[in-house]
Parts: sequence; structure tokens; C-alpha cells
Amino acid sequence: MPRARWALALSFLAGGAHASDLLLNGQAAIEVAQGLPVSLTLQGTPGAPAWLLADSSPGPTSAFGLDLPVGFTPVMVIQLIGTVPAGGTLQLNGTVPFDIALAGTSAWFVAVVADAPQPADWDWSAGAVLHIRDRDGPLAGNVLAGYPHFEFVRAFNANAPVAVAVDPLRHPEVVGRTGDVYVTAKKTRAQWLADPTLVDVSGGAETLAFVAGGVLDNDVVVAAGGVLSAAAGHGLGVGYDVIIDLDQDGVFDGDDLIDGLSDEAGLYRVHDVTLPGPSAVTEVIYSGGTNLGQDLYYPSDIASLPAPRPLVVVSHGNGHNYQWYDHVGEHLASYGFVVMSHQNNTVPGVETASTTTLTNTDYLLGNLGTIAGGVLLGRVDGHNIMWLGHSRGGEGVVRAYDRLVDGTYVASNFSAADVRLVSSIAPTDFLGTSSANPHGVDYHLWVGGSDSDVTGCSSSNIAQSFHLHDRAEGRRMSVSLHGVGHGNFHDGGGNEWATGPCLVHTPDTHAIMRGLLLPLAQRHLLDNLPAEDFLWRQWERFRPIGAPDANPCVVVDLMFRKGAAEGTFVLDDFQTNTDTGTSSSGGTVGGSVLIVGEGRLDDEDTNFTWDGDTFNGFTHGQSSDSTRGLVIEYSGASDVHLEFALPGGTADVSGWDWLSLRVAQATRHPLTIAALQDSTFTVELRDGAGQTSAIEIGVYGGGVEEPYQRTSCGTGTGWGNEFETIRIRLTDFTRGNDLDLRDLSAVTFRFGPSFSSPAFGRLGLDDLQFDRD
Amino acid sequence: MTLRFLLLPVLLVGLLAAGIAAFVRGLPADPPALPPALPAGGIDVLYARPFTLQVPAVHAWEAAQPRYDAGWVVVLAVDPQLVVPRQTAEPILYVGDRTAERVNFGHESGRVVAIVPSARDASGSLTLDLAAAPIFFGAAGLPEQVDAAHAAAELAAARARGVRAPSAAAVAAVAQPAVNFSDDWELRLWCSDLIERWSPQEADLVAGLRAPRLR
Repeated sequence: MPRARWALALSFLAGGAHASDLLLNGQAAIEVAQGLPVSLTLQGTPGAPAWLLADSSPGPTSAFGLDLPVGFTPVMVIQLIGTVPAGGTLQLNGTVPFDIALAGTSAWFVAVVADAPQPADWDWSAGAVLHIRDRDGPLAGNVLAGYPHFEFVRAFNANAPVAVAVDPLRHPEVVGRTGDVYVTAKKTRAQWLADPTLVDVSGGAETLAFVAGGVLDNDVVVAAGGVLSAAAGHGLGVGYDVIIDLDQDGVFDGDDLIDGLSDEAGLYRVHDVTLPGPSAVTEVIYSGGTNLGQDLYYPSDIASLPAPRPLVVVSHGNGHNYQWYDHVGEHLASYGFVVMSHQNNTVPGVETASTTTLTNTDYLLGNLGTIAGGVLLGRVDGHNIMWLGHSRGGEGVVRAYDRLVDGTYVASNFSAADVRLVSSIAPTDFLGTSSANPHGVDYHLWVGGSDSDVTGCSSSNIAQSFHLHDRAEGRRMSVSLHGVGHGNFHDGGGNEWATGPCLVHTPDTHAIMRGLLLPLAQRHLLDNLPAEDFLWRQWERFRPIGAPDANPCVVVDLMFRKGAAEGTFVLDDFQTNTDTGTSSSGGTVGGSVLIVGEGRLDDEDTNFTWDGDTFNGFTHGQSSDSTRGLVIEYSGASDVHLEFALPGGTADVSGWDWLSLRVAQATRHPLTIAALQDSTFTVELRDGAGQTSAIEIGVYGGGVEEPYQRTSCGTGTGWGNEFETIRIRLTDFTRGNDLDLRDLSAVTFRFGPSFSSPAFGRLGLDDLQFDRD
Repeated sequence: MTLRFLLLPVLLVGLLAAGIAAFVRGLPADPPALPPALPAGGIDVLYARPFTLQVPAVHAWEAAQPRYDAGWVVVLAVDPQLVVPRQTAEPILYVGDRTAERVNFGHESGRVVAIVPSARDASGSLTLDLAAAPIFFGAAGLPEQVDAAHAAAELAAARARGVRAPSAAAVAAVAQPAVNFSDDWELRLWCSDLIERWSPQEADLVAGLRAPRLR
């Protein structure tokens, strides 16, 4: 980095002992976004001059008989910063300069004070480091009907408006200024550095005068529905960057704000993901031998598509047929995936079925020169595989992965590391905890509420699909579909295997499947980030354009939990510290809400009849499983709360992006029956200074869905408890207030007449954690 | 009251009943519950043909996963309720103390094409005598988990509830000359003809078995 840039970086210190304490914002190590203030304090002998050394390398370097915590690289800057005043503390204030080239870099500092009584002595401080956070930050989103008034999101359907907003409390520098809001074609950071010229593609930049106040005083719609192309070809969304040009010079520079400076775009315009992609699809049926019948779908123009294409393998269920998944094969292949649905030997059992998944995957990858005349040779990415299994086949794909992990099956052409995602449709659980285990692979589950085959009733552990989900240690996700039967997931016709009210039937089920399968495959096989929005945002708020909205029976509930490998801070998953008063992270749990119990998420009797059992309706584990959660109850007579204190050493949550938890209504309980509706409640954060900020989850749309109103499995109405994930962006809590995310003391859930709808309820809670984008 | 006035309400009731019936027919059927008790008999052998394989195959329908190079292909008349494909446990089909591999489902036709492995004696004849082996459905489960002891217990239980082997005459009446296949893929391809004949509703299964083989 040029020396001039370092000089600029230090310009905020130009205003300037026992120099052992050199602190930045009171700490030895800080991360500060460009444009935000930094305060430097240095202890020293009054009257003594002080110098600051800043470098791009942490050292240490041996110099002056010491190991100094800077690198003494050629870009190191040494600057006189002043004389220590009478109080013995030299303080300098400045602002981290907004220089694109400095974003993401770090500066290591050490100070030295010339000790006045003993001029020959140089009093060196300890080191300090400033990590300069990218100025890139979210700007694009949607206006909300209540606090926090605006949600910053990544994906926008093509028919939806795009708004841009700035919170003046977070960006006080904008108040009183007027900026031009540009939506530009996506550029990488390098491209922005090379050419910072702003070219709006939304029909002209919008001008916005920023004022003191709230985010809703500083927002503007930058693109109406239908504006901004969503023609992403084989992709899922077209990326755009958003820039607020505060000096209105048509160039991204100075302290302009940007959403999209990283390699990810600021926003993505998403087309109707239920519609076919741009490629025609070729289907070939062939056999490689016994139980190696395969129905192959691939893009007809595969030879001209870039790079090897990801592979999706479909393993059907018992009584099904490998030719019954055209809706999966045709759809994904039209977007460039290679899809192979195979003969699955399910009747002997799940172990045998798992063998068929393994042998068929191996056969395909080992015979690319022969299959379909060799057109796939060199075009299939054997290190990028998704397994999608149905019913016994849904358990089979999990068992197959388990066998790869435990080494009881060794494939010739792929390994466990090559399987990026396992997805099960209404899987059985014959083999149980140790054998039907997804381990650390990203895992996804589909469940139909009307399934009359793998019913989900607590009378049979074999028929409880959620067991597999809750065993997954990596990222885990689920889709619960009310009114969908077992047979609706394939296209073989015949019995729908569906029981219950308001059936959705096959065509609409397939529309939902297409609309979620594409994001699922794009996210996990092609690292498409905006696809993730479809996997967790409330269906009521954000869903595929072609979702069957005309069908009033369609209800879709989503679970989404990031795995530890992605970086999480689990505040309480109830797996350890099983006392209800202590979270798994070691903090105190308490409050005025009725804590019914903490324990295994397993309805241990054989029905869903409400008869007082704590975990009635939960079908997420069996006796050998470890999945645990919490059940609470609130009568609505008064406001009550449940608080999770952050244990010592965890108060700084500023490095996390999201607060996430899953919540379910308790089926057939009188407090659930009394108001069959989405349940919403309030989440409050409190910092060490007592500042609080609260968000009612319904503001993001939907809430926690009531159980599907199906009978049988005992007396009463209501099927198994369906968790839904609630994710709230942490900075949403800071909108318009001074909540300090670096010093959080508690997460509190509030219920009752003032805080929840309905005012009463009985809920299951689990997986309370902080995670990242 | 005249007959005319009587006819009108009867007609209305009839129309209503017909409408309800049509409505009910239009609703998806619940899966049939498994019978509360296993049958004491009732499985007839409609067709039986010994076969040999040049390349041995694995019988995945038993825990031991034995290899076999000979056996019977049989067509059985069964209670369709017992073979409705379901994801949870299904009644397991036995021939004597061996599990049989069901090649089709037969829930619409009531006809199951099954492969029954057999050892051969020194002369090359099958050691499994169909006229000495009761054919029955045992308790619901997964065939891949059936071991010899379990199969023996199921046979004893079947005999106890009155299941008997087909008569020699009944077997002789349907027995066909032996046939040889290169491997079990060829065997199943041939079985697709039997499925097409005996259980024509399973056209997708037949088509799947007839997918052209890559060499």
C-alpha cells in the first residue's frame, strides 16, 4: 500500500510518560467501520513528547533492545502525535478514513514517549490494532409496518419493489446532506476500484435529502416491481449494487455509502423460480445392471455450459418408481444441473436402499463416457453432489451418507466430502439414531402434514421424519407443507396417501417443490447466497413468484439453522446444562413465564391427545436421540417474560449478524386451540447499560404457524408440532437507539397482552443462537 | 299421499346419495390398514418356473445376503391388502424358511411375481420343493433384517396357524420347464413379461425393468 495511504490513515491522529497503555476506543484491539470515530489514549509522563508508529504488519520486530509489536515494513509511518498533557493521558480523536483501499485491512500501532526526566529512556507502549471494517453495509430492503420499520434483505422477487434506507443514527454523517441513490450493475471490489463511475440502471438515480429522525424519514423506493432485469439465465438472481452518492458527483468516492462492495451484490432481482430455466432438457433412460436403472436429465446444451455441472441424485421410495420425478429432473436440468433418478431397492429395507443410492451414484460417475453417448464426460462435477430421497429412499440417502462417513462403504468415484447436501422427502426412521444419521452434512427435510403413510404420528418412531432432521449436526433445514400427502411429492399419480382437511394436491405441491428445490440446489451446490432467502424467510412475506397463492390450503413453514462449522454462538440449545435455570452456554435463564419443562423433544405416548404430557406433539427424537428443547406456557392474564442472560465473556455480539431460534405451537393444547392463528411475540435485547430494544416478530410477516388441523392419532384436532425458524438481524435492534451490541447482557422473550398475539399460548423453543450471513 | 309425491323425496334422496358417493370416490383413499391377523392360507401358486443363473446374484432380502445361482420364479395369488406398498413395515413373504423377493407389488392385481432362491443338489435340481414349503406372509418388517432364526420362527408360527404347503398336484399343474439366464438383470427383464401378463397395472415398473442396458 502506498505510503501516502498510510499517512492518510493516520491523519486523524495529527492533532497530538509511562506509555504502557495505548488504547483505541478503550481497547487494545478494535474493529471499526470506515467513517466512524476512533479515540486514541496514551498514558505518559506529562510534558513528554510522544510518537506513534503504525504499520501494516503486526511484527514483532526486535529493535531498541525490545520486541516491538509492529513489522517495521517499508510502509510503516512514524509520526509525532503531541505532548502528554498535565493529567498524564494524551487523547486524540479522529475518524477512520473512507478509502476503499483501506477496507478490510488492519493497522498495528505502538507508541513511544520520551521520558522527560530521563531523556535517554524511551518508554514504549504495548501494541494496539485497528481492524478497518469495510464500509459496505446493507442499504436495500423493504419497509416494515412496525419497528424496526425496515428490513435489509438480499433477494427481491422481480415483481416486488426495492427500497433503500439509511438509519441516521448509524450514519450521522448523512444528516443534512442530499445524496443520489444509484442502483448499478454489480461490480466486484476490484472493478469499483478500477472504475468508480456510477451508472444507474433503475431508470435514473433517486435524490434523497437526509434528515435527523428515523429510518423511515430516510428511505426511498429505487425500483418498482418489474423494474431491474431478473433474467439470471441459469442463475437465480441478477445482482445489483446500491450506492448513495453523498457528494453527488456521479462517482463512488469519499464517504459515499455502498451496499455491494464485496463480491456479493447489494441486492438480487429474482425471477420466478418455479418456471423452467433457459436450457432445453434431454432425458435418457437406461440400465447399468440390476437395480441400476437410471432416468437421466441433463441440459441439452451442456457442452456449452461453463464448468462441470453439479449432480443431483434422486432415490425414490417404496412402491414408487424412478421415472416418477420428472418435475425434479426437468426443472433442475433446465437450470444446468445434471439429475439422475435411479431404481431404488427399497422393499428389502433401508440399508438395501442406501446401497442402491451409493451404487447408482458410483455407476453414473464411473460411466460418463458411455452414458448418453458420452455427452456428460467431463461435464459432471463428482465433487458437488446432492442426494434427494423420498420416504424409505429419504432415509436411504441419510444412511448412505452415514455409511460413507463411518467407512462401511467405500465408493470408487466419490466420497462423503463430495456430497454437499442431503435432502429427504418424508423419510422413515427404521434404522434409528446411530445409523440414520446425517452427521455434519448440510441436511434438508420435506414433510407433508397430510401424509398418511409416513404419518408423523407419535404411535410409530418409524413414521417420524423429524428425527433425521434433529440428528443433523451441520446446517439443517426443513419445509413443512400443510395438506400435502405422501404421494404428492412424486408424479406417478395414484393414491395421494393424504388424509386431513384442505388438501393441496399434486400440481400445487410440485409448484412449491420447484420453487424451493432450485434455491436449495443453487445455495448448496453453487454457493448462491440470495437463494438462501427462500430457505428461511417467512413464506407469508417472501416466496417464489409462482407459488400457488390461489390455493388457500397452501401453508409452508420453514426451519433453518446454521451449523457450528459456519460460525455460531449458541446461547441455548438445551443440550447441556439441563437445569431450566441455566442455558447451555452457561448463562442464567429465568422469568415470569411458566416453564413447563426442558427435555427431549419426543412425545413419548402413542398419540397427540392433550393429556398433560410436557412434550405432547413433538416428534423430533426418540429415546436414543439427544434433541432437547423447552416448553413454555402463558395464560394471557398478564405480561410475562423469559430471559436468557449472556454468560461472561460473550457480551460482545457485534460480530454476529443474526439472532435465530425455532419455535412451535403445541398441538391440541387448550391455549393453542383457543386461537388458531400464527403466534407472534416480542424479542428484546438489553445491553450492559440497561438500554433495551424490542421487536415483535410478526413485523417480518407470518409468525409461528398453528398446527395443521388434522384428526386421528388420538382424540382432538391438530397434527404434530412444527417448528418455524425466526431470524432477526441484530442491527435491526439498534435502529433508532443506542443499544450496544458489544455489551449485550440478555435476550428476553415477552408474551402476554402487551407483547404477543394471541396473548396466550403454549410454545416449544429451541436453537437460540447467534450466527452470520 | 299419492305415489307421485312419494317418488319425489325418494328421487331427491337418491340423487343426494349418489352425489355423496361421487364425492367420496373423489376423495383420496386412506391407505388400507394392515389386517389385524395374518392369514392362515389363501396364497395360490399360479405359475412356477425353475431358473439358473450363470453369474450368481445376491439375495438382499435376508440379513445374511446369501448369493444364489438358482431358484424358482413364481406367480402368486395374494390378498392385495397385504401387498399395498407402504413406507413403514410390510408383511414379509416367505416360501418355507426363506424370504421371497417380490419383483412387483401386486396391490392392484393381487398377483405377485417373486424370486425364490434355492440351492441345487448334485444333479443340478433345485433343493427347494415348492410342494413342501408353505407360502405365507409373516409379520411386518424389513426383509433385509430377517435372519435364519427369525425365518424359522415365522415358519413355525405359520404352520401353527394352519398354513400348509401347496399340494404336489397344484405345483405340478403350474410348473414350467427350467430356464437359464446370464445374470439376475436378465432374470428380472424376463420377469417383466410375467408382470405385464399377470399385473398389467404396473406398467411403469415393467418399463423400468426394460430400460436398455448399457454395455
